[in-house]
Amino acid sequence: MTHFLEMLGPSLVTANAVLDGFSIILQLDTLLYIGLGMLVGMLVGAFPGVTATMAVALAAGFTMTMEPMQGLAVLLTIYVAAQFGDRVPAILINTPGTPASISTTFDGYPLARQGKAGLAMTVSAFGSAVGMLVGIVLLAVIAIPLARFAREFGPPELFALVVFGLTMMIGVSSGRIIKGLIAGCFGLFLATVGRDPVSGDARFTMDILELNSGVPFIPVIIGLFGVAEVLNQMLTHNKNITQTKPISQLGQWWPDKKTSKSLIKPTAVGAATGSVIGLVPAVGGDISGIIGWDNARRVSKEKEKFGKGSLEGLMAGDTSTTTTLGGSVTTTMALGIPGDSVMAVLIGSMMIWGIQPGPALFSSNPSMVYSLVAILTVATLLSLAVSLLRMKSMVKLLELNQAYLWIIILVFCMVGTYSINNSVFDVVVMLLMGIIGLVMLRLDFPAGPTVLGLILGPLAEANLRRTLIGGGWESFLSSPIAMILFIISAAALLFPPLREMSRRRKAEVGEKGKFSANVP
Amino acid sequence: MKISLRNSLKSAKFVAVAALGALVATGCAAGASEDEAGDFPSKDIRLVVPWEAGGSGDLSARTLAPKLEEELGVNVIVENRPGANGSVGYNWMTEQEPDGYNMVMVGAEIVTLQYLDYEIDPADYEFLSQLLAGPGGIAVRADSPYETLDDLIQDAKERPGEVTYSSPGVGSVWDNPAQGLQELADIELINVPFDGSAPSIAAAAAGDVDFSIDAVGSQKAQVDGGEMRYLALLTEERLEDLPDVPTAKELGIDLQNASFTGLVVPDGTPEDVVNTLADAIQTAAQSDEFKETIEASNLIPKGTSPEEFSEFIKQEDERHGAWIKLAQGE
Repeated sequence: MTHFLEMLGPSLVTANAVLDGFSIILQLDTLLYIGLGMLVGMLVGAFPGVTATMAVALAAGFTMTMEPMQGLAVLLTIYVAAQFGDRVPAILINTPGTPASISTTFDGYPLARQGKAGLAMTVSAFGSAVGMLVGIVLLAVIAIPLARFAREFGPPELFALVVFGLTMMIGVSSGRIIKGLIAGCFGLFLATVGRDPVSGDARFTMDILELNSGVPFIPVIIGLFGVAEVLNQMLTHNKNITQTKPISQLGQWWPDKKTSKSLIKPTAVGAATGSVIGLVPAVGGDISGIIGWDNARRVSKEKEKFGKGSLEGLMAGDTSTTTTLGGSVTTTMALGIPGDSVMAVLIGSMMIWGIQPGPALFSSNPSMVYSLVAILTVATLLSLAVSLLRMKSMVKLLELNQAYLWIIILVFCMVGTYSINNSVFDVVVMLLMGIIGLVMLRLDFPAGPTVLGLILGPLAEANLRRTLIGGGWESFLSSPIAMILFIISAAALLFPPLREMSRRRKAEVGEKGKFSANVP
Repeated sequence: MKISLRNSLKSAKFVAVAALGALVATGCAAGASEDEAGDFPSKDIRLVVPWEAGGSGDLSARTLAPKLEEELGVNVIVENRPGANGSVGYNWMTEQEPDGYNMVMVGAEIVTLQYLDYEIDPADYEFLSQLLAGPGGIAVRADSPYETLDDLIQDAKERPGEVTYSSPGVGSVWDNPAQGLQELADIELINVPFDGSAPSIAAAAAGDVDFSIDAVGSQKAQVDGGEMRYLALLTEERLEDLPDVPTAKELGIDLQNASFTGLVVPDGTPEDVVNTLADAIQTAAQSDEFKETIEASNLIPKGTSPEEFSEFIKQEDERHGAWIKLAQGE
């Protein structure tokens, strides 16, 4: 009975609860706190290495003394604004500010190099806003029944989802499949470093204490994407005269009607992908962005453009990444399971305010969900406006002499990386990865699969082993979700080569037909 | 509308805290050059948290720091040095001057890591004060067939090596007492380790494993939401908040365990410095504000003396050491 009531939770709440919840944003001080959160979030998003998680964690130290709703307003707005701010370095200097922007670099940076930075930033900002709003609607309308879906994800289902994620390696290799797989295996190897998740034995730690917790993830992405790109530009800037337009040229910055129309499909694909992935605990915007990007590529009419400056790819990735936010908030609040690392921090703060995220939260505090919705909506709209307004000045930064710019980017990357854990070790990892990334870039190995391997490797290993300890291989067979995901994964791997084969055959038949027709 | 006055007071407080933050930042440079020979403390003190920012350990440090500042009259700066189960922070501590200007927050790992091939030795530290405790409990999902702890034990006897429990990690403060449970009840259980308490408890609530052994406070959200039930507490006596839940001891299994955090300085720190710090921490930990914050997180505030904390650590070392060896012997 209680289950039934909880399922119906949102529909049972009176209009009163809705009004009560929304009234929070009518208070001037709440709006002020949202503004404060937005400034902090935009700033941290623009600094490579300074993640939303870190900003929220540090702000949590200050918001502790505030009223819960105002504290939540600050923390959630930082989270939202960081998503927007984050896209800027990803597009302009190929450095994802947070892991959620990895997919932004795939098409955003190539677009910027083609002199379309302005257009890329506008599209990205709208993609992020649309994704965010879809996620918020999900949270408002069907939060609790959807959160139940998250419960269905035990170790077997998570393993199957991760396997599906690993098939993305093919997609993000953009045609260089063998090289992509080698890069992916390198990522998976990096993922094995650290303590064994089940036995606790040290693996490949080489007596370096820090390696006990594995290869740190953020230094790797900053190194592979940002530092490698800067090093590459340093090496090649004399020869590289082919780049006709400097990035600082905004070019067209508002998409025309035809372009906007072509973006509808990738937006829908991204939002759908993000909605589902956001509900899976412990899997967040980083993976969702890549999967959304790849899904959009599969259904696109201009597949070959993906990874080389496709607006569709940029739109799909950014929409997908931000849509997960609604799902993350839902699972966090309704189940007490942190939807991602920012949410883990948020739970800590909420406990201090005496609010206990978990199954009882929405039934005991029905107006809460609407307050969250109101805060998130205002934060999203405000962030979108600020992103569009300040775009021109952001791009101005890149008018600096290239040599200065390289130094500035490198310094930012180093300071940002150091500040994550106050650790010199992380900076060393970042620089090493920068050199490895440079070699990969020169030899035309894609970095995307390496990052995927590093994110997904530990999830795959831990969940597979949990499954095997618990129910054994049978648990996969008895889980419909896992089986469906395995079938989708197999299809994702087999379908493109099969279609390619049939296309070739058709072409051959066509050739023959033409040939025979010519024969009198 | 009902809260507007309170709101503005709180906002004023927030502004004040932010301003203080700015002052701390500018004050650092001045503090560093001061004469070190004066009475302790004469410059800023660093409170290192060996875990990520934002977790409950980090937030308790950040609640404590302003109270310590009041007591000691200098800035107390919280700094995170996470990594490798806290060992990065613990290890960093042993490399600092034993002058009392660097403290590190510790959890149960300070005694358990030495048994898991980490070079961490409790003898390298002076123990100042235990700040809080999180007593343990055994909980099952709401529709579990187990109504009592005895049901669980009987089932495990009938199906040795098949009943599963989730733990927040191998060799963690909650995996170890499960070894104790197996020994005391003479049963064989299967450990499914997760990455932290939240996913581990969620797995038990969803029925992926048969039961959860973790801090009562961490399980509380699921219990309050009707998703889980407590079977037993791992405490000496019943808890005030949960008068109907029996202790394992009452049920014939004399098993107690609690997670804890406390503060330490490197071994060799002068006695008067240790006493100054410990007195300040005890006063701060007994302040209403600290107590309220800790209790809101379903934990028990402590604030013990250096002697009590050192004795406690010795006992923890023996208990966890025995449990881990038991697990490794299998």
